[in-house]
Amino acid sequence: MIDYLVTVVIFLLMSFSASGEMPVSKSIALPSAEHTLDMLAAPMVAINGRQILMNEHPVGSTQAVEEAGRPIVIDELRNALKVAKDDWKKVNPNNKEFPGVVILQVDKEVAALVVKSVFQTSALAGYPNVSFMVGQIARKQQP
Amino acid sequence: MSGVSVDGGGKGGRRSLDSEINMIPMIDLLMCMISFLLITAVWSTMSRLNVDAQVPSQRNDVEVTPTEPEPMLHVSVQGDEFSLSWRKGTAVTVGPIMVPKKPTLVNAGQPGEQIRYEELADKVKSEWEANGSHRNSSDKKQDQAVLHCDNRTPFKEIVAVIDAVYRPQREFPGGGPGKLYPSLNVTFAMAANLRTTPHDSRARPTVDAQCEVEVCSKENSWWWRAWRKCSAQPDEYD
Repeated sequence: MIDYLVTVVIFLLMSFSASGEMPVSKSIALPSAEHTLDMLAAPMVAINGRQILMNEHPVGSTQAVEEAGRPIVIDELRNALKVAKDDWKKVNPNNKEFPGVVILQVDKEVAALVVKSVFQTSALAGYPNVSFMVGQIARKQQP
Repeated sequence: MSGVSVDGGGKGGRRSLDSEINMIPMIDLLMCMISFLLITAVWSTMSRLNVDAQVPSQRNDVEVTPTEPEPMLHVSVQGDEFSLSWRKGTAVTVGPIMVPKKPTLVNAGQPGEQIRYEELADKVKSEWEANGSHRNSSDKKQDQAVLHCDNRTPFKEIVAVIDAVYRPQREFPGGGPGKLYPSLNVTFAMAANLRTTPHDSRARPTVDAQCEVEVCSKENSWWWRAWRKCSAQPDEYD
């Protein structure tokens, strides 16, 4: 029995990862994709059917973007991203290049207009490398 | 009680040493560790799809030099088909190639239902193999793909199209032997008519160019053009 328990503990410790866990908002159903990259640590912006959230604080309304009818710059989001960028510079003052990565958690039913607006706002705030968080589908073997 | 008896011998008329290692605390510890590891285990790890906004890497005080545009694959999401074309700047060099929009449903009828566009993925792969500029595994650069889609397109369709565009993969220098990365990098085709949010009262110039800005290079990107039109001193990206 001891041997069995020790084996189970060793297996679980080997498969344990503290970095793979990413908080996903309960109101967001993420799509999945096959050709994906590994996650990395970056500011997280969540977009559900009603709100745009950064670190669980509302920074915009999807309804306002949809009413505008074309991609717009979301000022609250832009300011929040700039604050995050300034914070990063304070923590990394030694001329390290700012990675400019932001990860978007977008509900799969959200319209492209909202995604484009957030994408555009992120680029204007100094985050040109936008990544969409997705689930992983098992990859098929390429011929 | 479970335990391990350590026999002390008994020679010389001495009493045998009957000490036992108590195993119960060890079992308790192992049980606690198993419970903790099972509870904190991450069973569904998340991944990401990268979409580059193609901004210039130079600061604004450096004069941008125009570069020769490279051919880029433009993917348009239309009603019941996709249109693929290779363009150099604004000139169409190959195409348009129409691909029927035939979605394949994964986990159909379930909450986790996903869309796949296998035909589009195969066509993008063959197009890249025929016309891509950066196909050598020693080449660090990726070919560019520009995604055009209607503003009402749901995000799940956008992800399915991006996933299809990422089907052609190759090795990259420094990426590790045998590790494949997408051969194309996707960006959105964006209109240059940037506006601020409706409630914003600050006087910021708007851009009224109605045409869609093509992404030609990092120095000539939609972001760069739009921002230069919005502000005389773009100080955001430094």
